[in-house]
Amino acid sequence: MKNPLLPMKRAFLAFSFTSLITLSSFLLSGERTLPPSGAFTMSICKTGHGGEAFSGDLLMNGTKIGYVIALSRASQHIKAKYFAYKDNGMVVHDRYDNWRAGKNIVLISSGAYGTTFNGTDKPVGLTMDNGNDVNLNLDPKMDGLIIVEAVGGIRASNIQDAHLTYKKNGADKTVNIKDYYQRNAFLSWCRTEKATTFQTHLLIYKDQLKFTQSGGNVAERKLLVLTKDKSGNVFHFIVYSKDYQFTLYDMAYNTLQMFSTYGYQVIAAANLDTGGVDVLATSNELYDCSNAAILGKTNDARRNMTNMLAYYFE
Amino acid sequence: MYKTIRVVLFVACSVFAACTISAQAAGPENPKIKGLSWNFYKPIELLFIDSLRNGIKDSIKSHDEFLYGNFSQQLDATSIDMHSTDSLVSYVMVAEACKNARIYLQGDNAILFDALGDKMLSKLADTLTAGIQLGTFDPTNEDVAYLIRRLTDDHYLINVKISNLKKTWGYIREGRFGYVFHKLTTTYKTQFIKFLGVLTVLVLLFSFRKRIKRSIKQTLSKK
Repeated sequence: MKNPLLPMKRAFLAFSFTSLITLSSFLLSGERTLPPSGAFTMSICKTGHGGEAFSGDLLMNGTKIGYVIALSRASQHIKAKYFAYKDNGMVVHDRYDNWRAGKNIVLISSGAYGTTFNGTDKPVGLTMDNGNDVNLNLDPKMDGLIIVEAVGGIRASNIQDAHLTYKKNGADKTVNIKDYYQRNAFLSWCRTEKATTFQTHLLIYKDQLKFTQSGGNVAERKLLVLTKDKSGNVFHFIVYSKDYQFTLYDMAYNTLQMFSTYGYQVIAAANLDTGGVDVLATSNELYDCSNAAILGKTNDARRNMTNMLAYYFE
Repeated sequence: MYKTIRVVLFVACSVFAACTISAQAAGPENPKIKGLSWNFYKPIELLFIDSLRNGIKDSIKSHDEFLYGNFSQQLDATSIDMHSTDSLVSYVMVAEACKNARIYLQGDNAILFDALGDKMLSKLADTLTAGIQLGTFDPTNEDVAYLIRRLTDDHYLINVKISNLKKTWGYIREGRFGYVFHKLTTTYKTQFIKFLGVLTVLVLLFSFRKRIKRSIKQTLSKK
């Protein structure tokens, strides 16, 4: 007797086979992940927020590979705010929604790394949020310590330099964050001053690459770059290679080359996470050069953000 | 009869499930670990340090750093016995008491105790992280899970690198299929193509298995 399921089986096999061939050919033909060779350049097309915020395309050999957003800190009207973690069970995006009322938001971006080990979503590395302890365990693998000041400035410090400076009672105090006693003196200051601080990978520091080797995973990369122009004005940049993937080394190398070419001094460049939650959104004054909205890869996952960097105009 | 057995089995399973869930909710079974209290606690060791710092306050300018240096050296020389519940209990309690010193000491006076507690808890978190990575400690073990939870509550995160497979499984469970597809077609493109290649060969072999068998048989029979 003929098996009644035979035609179905054959159809299923034919379908699977065709799907596999189609998917394989799609993958083999797609060169989307391979960036064009050449140097990074930026094309700034939009100006907003009192002429202090700029946006445009990140180019490589003339091909658009992502976005660039530049924020001037010269007049200090544009300020940074960092939400390091949820507070009293309120997720970061809800905290942001409460805080943003009446504010002129310039951009928001997902921040540094979080872990998913053991069901937690806590940020990795030393983190304080508005003077509250979040994670006190210093991660030795990340040498960047970022301090987001209450006045809206951002300072980056190289942990390996053992030379973190902060102002206490009007005087500069320098500590080695790797020393427990000195670290706790700094944390005590953070609690008193309601400071926010977090750890991340420092890619460039004082115009020097912080890498000794290339290689590693390729992925879309998003860097927070703190720079000074020729006149000494501080600019914060978000350099985001949304359309192409790079190793951290290549991204950092190309970014440093680009800023050197434009005559900018790179104070520091820190890596922002582009993993499972890669959010970026700008105000309606800032678009890319084709007048399209600047968006992160997973803007629908806003509620899953472990932390968030926001800039606002005041 | 059959119906009765089914009812008895159902009741037994329900009771067993309820017991398991309530036991998990109540915390670890080990009575000593379970006995660790989150309440504020000032042990004799802290009183000793307090008296010591008062004793040397006038004689040494940076007395707290001097004291920290001495205690820190002692801590460095001592390894944590991760398999002795007694020693772990007292270790965690002393460390937490040091961290809690901020409650009764103002400003810079608390830094000495903060630093000591910080060093102790960081050391424990690092030992636990290394142990989990090496497979010495099982994070699903009740006592280990309890320590992880307690350290997390004390703001010391255990950060163990999660495999890409586990991460992917997490994204699938969250229903983020678009992101999984994006990763497979970009970051893990090479591996994905290899996997698809193997899968294609397997599907082909499976599709033509009867013909292959037949041709093998024919070849053998000809011989």
